[in-house]
Amino acid sequence: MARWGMVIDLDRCTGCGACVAACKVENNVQVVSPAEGERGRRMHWLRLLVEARGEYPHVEVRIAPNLCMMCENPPCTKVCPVHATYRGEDGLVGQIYPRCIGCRYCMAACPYSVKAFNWGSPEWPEALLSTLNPDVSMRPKGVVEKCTFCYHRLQLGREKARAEGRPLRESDYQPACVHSCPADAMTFGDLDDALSPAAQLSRSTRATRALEHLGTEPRVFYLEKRDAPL
Amino acid sequence: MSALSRREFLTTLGAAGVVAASSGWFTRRLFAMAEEGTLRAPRGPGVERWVPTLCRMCPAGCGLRVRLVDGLPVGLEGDRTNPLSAGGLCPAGFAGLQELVHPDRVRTPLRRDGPRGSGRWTPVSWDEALEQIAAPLRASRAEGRPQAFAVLERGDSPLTLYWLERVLRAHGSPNLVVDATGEPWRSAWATVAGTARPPAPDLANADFVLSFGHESLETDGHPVWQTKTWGRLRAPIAARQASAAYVGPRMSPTANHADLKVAVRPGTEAIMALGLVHVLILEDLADRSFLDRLTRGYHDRPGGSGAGGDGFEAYVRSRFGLEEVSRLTGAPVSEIFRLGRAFGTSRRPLALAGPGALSGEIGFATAMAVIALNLAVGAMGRTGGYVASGGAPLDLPPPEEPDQVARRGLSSARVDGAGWATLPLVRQSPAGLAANLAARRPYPLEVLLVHGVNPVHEWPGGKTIEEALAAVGLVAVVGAVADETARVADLILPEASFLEAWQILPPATGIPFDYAGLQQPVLEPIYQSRAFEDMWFDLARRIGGPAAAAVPAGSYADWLPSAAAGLHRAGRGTIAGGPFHARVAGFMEERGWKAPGPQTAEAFWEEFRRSGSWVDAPRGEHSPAELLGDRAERFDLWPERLLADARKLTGTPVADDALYGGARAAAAGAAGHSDHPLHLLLFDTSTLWAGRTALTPVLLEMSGFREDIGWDSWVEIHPETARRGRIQAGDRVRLESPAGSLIARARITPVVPPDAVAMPRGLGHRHFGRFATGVGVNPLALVAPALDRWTGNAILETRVRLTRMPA
Amino acid sequence: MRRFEPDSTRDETLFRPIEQTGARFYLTVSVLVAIILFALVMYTRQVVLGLRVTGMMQPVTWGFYIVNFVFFIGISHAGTLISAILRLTQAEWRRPITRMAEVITAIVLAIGALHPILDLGRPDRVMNVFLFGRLQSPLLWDVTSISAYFAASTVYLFLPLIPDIALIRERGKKHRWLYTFMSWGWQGTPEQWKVLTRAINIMMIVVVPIAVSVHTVISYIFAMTLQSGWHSTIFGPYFVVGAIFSGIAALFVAMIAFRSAFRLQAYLKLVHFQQLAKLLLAMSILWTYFTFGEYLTGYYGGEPEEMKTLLYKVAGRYAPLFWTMVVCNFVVPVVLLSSRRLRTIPGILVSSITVLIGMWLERLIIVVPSLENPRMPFPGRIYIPSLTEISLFTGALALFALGFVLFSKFFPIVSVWEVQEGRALGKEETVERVESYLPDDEVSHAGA
Repeated sequence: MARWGMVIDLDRCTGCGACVAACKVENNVQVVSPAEGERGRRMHWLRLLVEARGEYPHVEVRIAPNLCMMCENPPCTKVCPVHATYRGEDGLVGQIYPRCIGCRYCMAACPYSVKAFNWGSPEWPEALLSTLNPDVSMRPKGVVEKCTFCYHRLQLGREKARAEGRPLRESDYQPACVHSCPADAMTFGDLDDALSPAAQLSRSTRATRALEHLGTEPRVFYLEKRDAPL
Repeated sequence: MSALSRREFLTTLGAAGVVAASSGWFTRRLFAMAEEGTLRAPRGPGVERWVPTLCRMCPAGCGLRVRLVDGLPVGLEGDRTNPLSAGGLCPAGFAGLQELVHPDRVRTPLRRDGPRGSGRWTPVSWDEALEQIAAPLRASRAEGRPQAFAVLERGDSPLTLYWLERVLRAHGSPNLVVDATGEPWRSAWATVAGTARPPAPDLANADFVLSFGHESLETDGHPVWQTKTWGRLRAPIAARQASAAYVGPRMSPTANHADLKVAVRPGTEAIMALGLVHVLILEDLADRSFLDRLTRGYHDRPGGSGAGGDGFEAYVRSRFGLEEVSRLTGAPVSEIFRLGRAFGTSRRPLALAGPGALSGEIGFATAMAVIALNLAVGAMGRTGGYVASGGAPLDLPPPEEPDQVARRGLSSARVDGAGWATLPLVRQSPAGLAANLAARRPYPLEVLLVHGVNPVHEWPGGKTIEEALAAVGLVAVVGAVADETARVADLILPEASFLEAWQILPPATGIPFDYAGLQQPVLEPIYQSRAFEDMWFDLARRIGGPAAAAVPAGSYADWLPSAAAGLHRAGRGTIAGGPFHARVAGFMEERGWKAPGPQTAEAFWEEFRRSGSWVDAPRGEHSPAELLGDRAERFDLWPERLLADARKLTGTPVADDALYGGARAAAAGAAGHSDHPLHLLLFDTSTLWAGRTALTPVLLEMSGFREDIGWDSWVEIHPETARRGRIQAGDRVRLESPAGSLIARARITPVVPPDAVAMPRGLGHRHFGRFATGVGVNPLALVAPALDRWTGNAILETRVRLTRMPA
Repeated sequence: MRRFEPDSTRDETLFRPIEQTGARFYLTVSVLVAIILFALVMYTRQVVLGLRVTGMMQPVTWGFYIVNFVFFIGISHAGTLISAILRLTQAEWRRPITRMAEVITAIVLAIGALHPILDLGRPDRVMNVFLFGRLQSPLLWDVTSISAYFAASTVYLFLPLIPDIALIRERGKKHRWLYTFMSWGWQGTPEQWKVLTRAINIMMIVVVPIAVSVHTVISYIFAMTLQSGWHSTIFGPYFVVGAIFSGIAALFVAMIAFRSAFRLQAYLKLVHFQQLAKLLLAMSILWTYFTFGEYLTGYYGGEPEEMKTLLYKVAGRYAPLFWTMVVCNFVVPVVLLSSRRLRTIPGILVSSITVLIGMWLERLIIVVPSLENPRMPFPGRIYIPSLTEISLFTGALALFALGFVLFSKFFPIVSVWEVQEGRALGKEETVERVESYLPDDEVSHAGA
């Protein structure tokens, strides 16, 4: 079983936001009203966390995509009372929408704050309903949702491989965000496959993980910005 | 046992209550889900099909693959095989589907029903609409005034421009006004090299990229291609590494990624560029061999009239001393040296200038200065420097001789004033058009056709443009959603979305190799919208005469394959995504082999449709000669010809020092505005793109996604400025300039200098569909319409006063 | 223990509220019902529109509902715990208090247990907790524990109520059928007394560990996560102490209210208040000790993420609330309850109310600041409760009051038979007990 993981090179990430838009469109994540957005209820499975340090003009802005870390030791699955968030056999932390009771305990427990909650019913303008992705289920109000590493693409990839009578290749499965990145800052693959670029990059000396001291063993690695070659 | 039976009764009652409360019907009503997308699609077997096409949300034209399920588009992603975008996209690309089905798309041609601007329309047929445009054009031609027809065009599609020009030329009007933002760079380059086609930066092979306000990673040039190149150059296991530097007043996202950032006061980039030339001279890092062989004016000024006759080198040394440069730009001398040395000691340095640095009062001088800097390190015509811009060898019908009526019309002055008295050095001037319209200068217009431009919203002085349009006989706007300009028009012609229309896109300027992208429709137009080129062909046929003869029979889609036949005939390059990688094919070709490809033009077209792009790999060898115009042998450091032309056309003497001296004067005079102490810096974001993409909910929600701001504009304010004004994050502030005022929310950030504030363009639409209307504010309300006589562009510079609004 | 017969003809004062209903009762009930109805309307609106009617957002995904959940469950402790412990230690002054304590527990436990359901995004799926429940989750421990406590405390309320119900039945003035039904066939035979006493004894022992587990487990909801400010080993005992503390305060408020409303000065005398006040004072000091330890260790360790939350509470945005809490929970009780002069009923009332406010603030300060300071550089957000959340809070308080008022309408708010038992047997038993403590006579009675 592949150990799916992601490596994000912060030296290359320009913070353009293509990944944010790609994820939203791929996964039918609702757009909330402006008023709701002001109250902090915008729904992003993948967001950019921005930290500006320093004073003008020596300002360093660290932009890091923040998404579900697919922890190997997830704090969120431990606390869910109804097994609606769970760690599946692919090692991906999933979310069972029909079972979630919306207690938001997993959201309080996640140290990365990556889960999103449907505070209200998704209101899709009628005309835009046809643009929804038929591979991803819709969520009603009152349930928690989060990044799934585009699990539906894994399923599609498996079907394709099966139809072609061959085993699943790494190139068959890539989340929408990774595909969209114009800087090639995101690499995705099997962390256990020594030949996979994702695996190699995850072992780079620049590779770190967020909040590593908490022992959650996240599967998303960040390559820190390099010192200026000048 | 009566107690027990009562207990049983109570228990049953309780259980029944719980069951009832959680019964399916009740909860289903309360917790209904939005209908799934599949319910909207035709009920079919769920057959998936992918169509390669191009994204046209911005001028770059990234490769796109649209996913259709049972014939309905349900998703899209970047096209990995596209040689430019290689699978990458920017956020705007993902809104393509939402734009396609936007509820406020115009469905039929609309004719105004009431006074202009009343917002009342009646649907008419295409025949009626086009006839309404053609009739006055036929009449004016018959009266010998074919030039009373102007087209204001976005200009991001060379083939569209070709057909516009061809018909207008046959008809007899010189008035194709293109809203190109590359104008200062283009005209400066034309002055230096004697050719209208600017060069392209060979970023993939550069090792030091110095950007003067060029937001390469955001919205300038071809951002996705630039970001891809950047990504390859910074890959952890890359063969080659590169450094980047940024000069500008605002520490933009592109600046954030630079290894070396030098902050300069707004509008002083030209001075910094000349300061860096000075450093190169002092440190003996200038490419003397190049300067001696290939430039004119470095050591002395040929035919200089008046003072000195100093060459460029002497001029820079004497007038742009480093102390002076530091004083004017605000950058410490040590940093200027550091940057100059880093630039000069690199093997393949390259300097870029972006619209942000070129849209001020001295935009032309800035462009000239940056070109001079490139010349100083010999970055012209070599690998990793500027090389010839790529194109596409498409087959186009040969030009035809205009008839006598047309010739007379073509010789009249352009309505935008370009090439005439006030704008002698300019080819296009949208701002000149705005200025001339109201005064009916140089002659009144019968018809103005507007395509892909929204001047009332996007240009400074929108209100005056609205009023100026009243002077035009008939205003017809081509677009998908009725915007502010459409609202004051007489006719709205619904344009097909890029997902419903055909196009072949040669590379945008700034791509260093030949390429052609194919945009093909993924479905039939869902309303009565039509591709612009089809409208144009029909209109030409209706006008009749030479205009009708200038267009081919049939639709644009019918004609396109014959253009592509030119790619096949060229016998070089490959269709991307084919069995041979473009580099391999180029390698083989250089050694006399030809990579096998389709044998016939028809087969080529089929392959082209399957792939979506064609590319000819960059050649190894470059030479400066490829950048010079036919009649130029050297690069002109002094714009002698320019100044001579200016004197000739205006009849007034222009000071020798007018070009760079103006830059110094502008910078020196920058201080001392007590009423409006802050500079206003305008920038674009990759979600709003100056307003054209601010149409759909997904992008509007992401207006300020890095700033945790959605559905709104904002003002970036330095912490010190905020402290002085007692402004806190989220407060509403008022910005006032001599031209107008607005209210927006404050964002405190150290990326702007203490003497400036910054605002993103794009929002503040008054009419742009239900989602965008009334969202955010338009910073152009603060900019007075002012024309740069060197470039014909609007000057987007202004100063403001900042006050906090009471809560 | 020598049997005694409760007398239904004595202690008229205790039966009067049941048998006579004045205008005040109807007025009180109307006002409370009105508040509750408003809350119900707001809740229905919440179910229809979703939780966006609250002030919660990412990252503050828990707010008033969880704060009040912890608060109400906390109050529930005192009841049964005080009643059980006082019975266990055979403190004679407990007699007029135990009934009120047990009632508080039963009512406020139900209200508290309701709050997580109010907080759910999908309340219609609450059965999932039983169908798919994972015992690994602290919320499940909560459900188990609270269910057990509710069952135990209801039984523990009902058992000592039976003899009083029989008394009302004997008096025969109101709803005879109801009291006959509810008295469960009690005839006051020695057999029945023996069974009842044994049952009460078992329950009073059983209820203590269950009660302790309840609030410990509630604290584990927070302590078992990795949030800064929550992941603390001290939480279990800290919460239990705080619960008992707030519970006693609530008990005091109830005692004072009913004492004045029903004119029970003869039964609830100053000495009762003063004895219980000593317990309140002890809990205040104990609470302060725990709080001090919690913040000192956080501050000393200086771990950045912990410090951020800690400073936010102590010196940042939550500082006014934090120091108000300290004043309410420590300064006021210590000042008013340490000296006999100030340990009066008004003084006790003031202390109790401030303790209730302070303890509510403590719950708020535990839940919200940690969430407002996530570990990742999230854009900062402030939680401000909405009208819906406030109305549900007032509704819950009104429901609590209504439950109490209705209970006092049907059952005696002071345990009649226990007071009478105390009158009859108390002195003798106490003398016997004290004699057993005294040292034996020096003349050896080894054999006698």
